[in-house]
Amino acid sequence: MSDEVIRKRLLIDGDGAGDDRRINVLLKSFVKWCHSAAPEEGFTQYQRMLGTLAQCEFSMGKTLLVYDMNLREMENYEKIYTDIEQSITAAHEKIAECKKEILRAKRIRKNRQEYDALAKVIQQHPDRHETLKQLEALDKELQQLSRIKENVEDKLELRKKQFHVLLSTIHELQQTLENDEKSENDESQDSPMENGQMSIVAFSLYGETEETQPVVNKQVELADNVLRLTEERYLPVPYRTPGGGHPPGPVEQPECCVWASEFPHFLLNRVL
Amino acid sequence: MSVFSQSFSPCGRFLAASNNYGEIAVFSLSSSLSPEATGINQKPILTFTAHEGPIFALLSTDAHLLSAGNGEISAWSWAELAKRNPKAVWIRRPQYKSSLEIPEINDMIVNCRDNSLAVGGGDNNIHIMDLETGVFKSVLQGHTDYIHCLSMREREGELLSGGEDGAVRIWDCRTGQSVHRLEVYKYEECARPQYGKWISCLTTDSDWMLCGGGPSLSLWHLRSLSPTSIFPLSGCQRQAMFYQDLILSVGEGHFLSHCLLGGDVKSLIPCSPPSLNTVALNTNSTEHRVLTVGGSSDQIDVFTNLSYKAFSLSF
Repeated sequence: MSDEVIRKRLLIDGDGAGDDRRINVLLKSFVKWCHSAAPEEGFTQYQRMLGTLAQCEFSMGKTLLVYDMNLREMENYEKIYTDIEQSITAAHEKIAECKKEILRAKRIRKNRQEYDALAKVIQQHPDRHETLKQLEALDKELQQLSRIKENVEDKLELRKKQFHVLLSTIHELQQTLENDEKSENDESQDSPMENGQMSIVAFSLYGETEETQPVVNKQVELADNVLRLTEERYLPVPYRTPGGGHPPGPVEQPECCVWASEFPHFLLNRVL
Repeated sequence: MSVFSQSFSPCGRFLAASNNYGEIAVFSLSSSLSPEATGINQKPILTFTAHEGPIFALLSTDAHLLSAGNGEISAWSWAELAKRNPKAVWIRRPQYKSSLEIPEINDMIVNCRDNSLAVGGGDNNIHIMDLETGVFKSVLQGHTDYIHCLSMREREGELLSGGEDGAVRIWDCRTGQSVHRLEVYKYEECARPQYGKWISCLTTDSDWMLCGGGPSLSLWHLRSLSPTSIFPLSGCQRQAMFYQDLILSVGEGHFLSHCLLGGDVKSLIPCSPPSLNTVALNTNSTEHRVLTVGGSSDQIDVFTNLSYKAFSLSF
């Protein structure tokens, strides 16, 4: 216990200068004053003691004020401390918020860049509308051309058939001539009956062999003419573009057809 | 010495790195990242010889570290490695056709869907092994030259492989058939004939794919199989990865490249090894989020902030 007291006293005023010494001096002077006899000296001593007491009181007052001040300072610091703590936590939250924000922004940026990269690739390909238009135009052209092709093919078929008719007629004529020759050479035999209208007509017409030969020659000449003329007229013209040249209109009634169907009559007319 | 590959532990506190001598070094990230770290903390806590030849691929599963070297795959338990006890849990070898020459394994990848491991290497084939039973289920054949790298397309369940023959093949994991084949060197904008046609780095995030090597590093859109951006990086890239909105890539040259998806190179961060082989990002831990790069030196650079190198670990 006495250690405590000594420690405290040393802490407060260890060096001997200051208030402690003043109080000790006051006590000593008080004791001396009590024991002193002379009144004047006693009075001065008394005054001196009062002065010292005043000084001590003053010092004590100062210390009390300092103590108060320290207490208030402490409070102030406590307040500032709590304020700073709050702002630290607020700043932490803001940082976390900003970090989330930055992650979001990075994701958005990544998406935008991916979009840009894809857009770059897509731009290299031609526009869809244009391609569709081109496709449509090509389709139309294709249809037109196929129509023309069909027309030409039909025409070709028709001509082929006509030529076929013509040639078969001529062939029959030749056969008839041969038959006539044969029947000329061999009067006992009947000339073989030909199928076909032409041969029957021919047979009925050309009873006399002497007269038939020049007529038959004329027939052959006529057939040749017909063939030549049809060739000139109906030989397939090299197809020109739809813009110019002979337009493939509706199929015209070819005269060859007429000729072929009226051939025997024509001959009849010429012969009779 | 060259560091060929790295892998972070599932807890995120350790880094395993392998080199060309067949050694694996385990570093403790928590001690090297702590404020009181000294030179000792930048050395590995454990170094051991795992294989006879160089180890080109390291992979971490939930509890094991898989290493591939000398044609075989060994598994080590992370818990044991943390306690400095290197003992292999299992060692398996795929069936190779020829028994004379043992082809090296260049890359491994885990298919989480059916818990299988795909390894690709020098015999031009990809072997699929079931992780639970250890049986090699199937072989994906198709490449005409050895396989450099593998990548997994999680969403569609497809495996991508890039090889020396310049082809990137996309395999369907269930049927084992090659779905697509991209010959990158045939595209004029990517090809760099002076370097060759081999593909050494491949990575994907389901919609997009990065591939590079002989041809320039390029970003491909997988749905349309068309290249969208070409990155003007000199040198051949050996590993690339997607990170947030950036593309990180390492290769020849002593820098780590940051590129944007549009094809611009944002920055080149210098590193200590003169040529880099591997880059790894620790996604398993939030307080040790670091990026590490390793290459043709015994220093492994650690980046705490992506923009600059913080310190180096020493193998």
